[in-house]
Amino acid sequence: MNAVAHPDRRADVLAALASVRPALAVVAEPERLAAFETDAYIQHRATPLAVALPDSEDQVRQIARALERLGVALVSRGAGTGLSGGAIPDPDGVLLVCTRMRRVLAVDAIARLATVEPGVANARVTEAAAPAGLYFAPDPSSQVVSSIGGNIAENAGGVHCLKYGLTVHNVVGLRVIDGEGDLLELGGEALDSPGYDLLAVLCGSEGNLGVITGATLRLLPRPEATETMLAAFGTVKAGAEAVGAIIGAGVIPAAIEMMDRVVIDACERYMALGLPKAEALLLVEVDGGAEETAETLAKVRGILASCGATEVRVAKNDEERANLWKSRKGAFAALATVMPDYYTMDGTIPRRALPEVLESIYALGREYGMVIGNVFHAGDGNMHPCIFYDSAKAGELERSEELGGRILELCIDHGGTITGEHGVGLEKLKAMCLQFREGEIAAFHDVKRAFDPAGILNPGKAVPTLKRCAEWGGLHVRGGRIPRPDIPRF
Amino acid sequence: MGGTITGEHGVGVEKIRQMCLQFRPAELAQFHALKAAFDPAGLLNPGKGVPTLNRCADYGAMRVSRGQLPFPDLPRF
Repeated sequence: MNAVAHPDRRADVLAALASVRPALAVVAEPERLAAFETDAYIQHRATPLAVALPDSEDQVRQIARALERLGVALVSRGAGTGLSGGAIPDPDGVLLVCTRMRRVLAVDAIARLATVEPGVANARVTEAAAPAGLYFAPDPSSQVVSSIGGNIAENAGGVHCLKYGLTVHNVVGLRVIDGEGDLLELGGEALDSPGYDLLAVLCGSEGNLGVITGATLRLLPRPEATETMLAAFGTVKAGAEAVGAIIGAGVIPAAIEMMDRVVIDACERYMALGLPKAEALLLVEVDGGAEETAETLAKVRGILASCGATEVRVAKNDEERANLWKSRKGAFAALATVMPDYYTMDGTIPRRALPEVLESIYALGREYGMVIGNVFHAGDGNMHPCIFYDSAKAGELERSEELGGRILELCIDHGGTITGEHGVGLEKLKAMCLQFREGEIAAFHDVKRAFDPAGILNPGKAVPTLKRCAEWGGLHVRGGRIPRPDIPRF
Repeated sequence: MGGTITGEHGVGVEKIRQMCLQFRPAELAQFHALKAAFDPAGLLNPGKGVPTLNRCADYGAMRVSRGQLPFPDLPRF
């Protein structure tokens, strides 16, 4: 991926960045650029021509204008914690890093809104809102470092999105610089705004449609009461069925997380938490008013028992609650003790398919002779199967990717999707051809052109070209005909 | 006051003029580009929801920022 740019082009780009006023922080030395060559999808990396670190929206506007004129790629990112490679630099482009724009500009306790710059860390918003008794609900595991701009670009989820929604449900306004360097103010402080809902279009657009330069976020009051419980099951199937039973009974917990035996054992080895011996654990959290929460807790305990839970532990205080969460929050670190490497998937399925899909995933693991562990957001059907392998052994990485592809196909077959919260980036481009039919992929490209006529924004990520889909042979074949027979293949 | 011209009733033909006050030209142009993406021939409910830039210029209701009339080259009236 590391193409060497034409020297003149590099000089043009550096000159354009140097012309930005007030002067802009730029990184261009090879040894310093190395720090920016990947995000958290570390299987791939690339070195950009330069890194720009703007302090203001107006600098971002000037950069976008200059790069559009030069026809040079602009990849924007925040903290670089993305898991699908959406923020990996373009070797012929500029990487725009928003982490210097990290102020919380205002917290409005009456409107319950926070106005922030894009580089502020997710957890910092809640810190700033805490004196008003408010918090920002989306809580991706990376929230201590991951930035709001990146959360919006990836439409990040988290353990509590089951009840409180994804990032898109918690953002009411956006400031965006599009591919022509124009400022767009989308949404606003009202519930609805006139015109097309471009705010929703921007959420999850993975840097394809604009650079997010500001956001107005919805804040929620802290719930009066929270109850957290851990339930043990003798089979994965029984645990999976309990998830459906809870939701089916009309309860929307704040979170339902699931862990299987591979993960439980890894957590025990890594943290010695004294977890129950089980094939599956469910971590269920309910919150709300004090009376309502007590009632819901009793109801959920009853359902867990009737679904065959062998043990249910309820946290008596915040310390015990933190301990129950410790296994889930530390699980991905603990999984490093299973084998040298693992590959985390991010498919979603309808909740009712959970027992069946989990069975099929284990069957695929046996077929490939590979260990798979499951720790995931069971309540919203967002699976994170982890495929274990050893990259030192030839062909194992490729086998893990092939098995991962099979799992995503399985998710689609059950009416699910190829990504729940990690985005497409570079990682899941191929799977996009399976998820969408040709007309849908063409519509994505048309929308991109509307925001970015010159195609400079994060090119080659998030949406595959139709030609690429044709070459992969992954386009939906309908009515026995190959779609677009006119596209040149291979 | 930082609010909007429609809460839940939509724009339609009724509030098309106020759209020129609510949005700046780049934003309106974005709406049109997006419409073109879905409806290249412009057959779907033409003239509703989003005003043309010309119409906004005719109403004289475009946002004037930094003492400059946006798109001074557009023919008006």
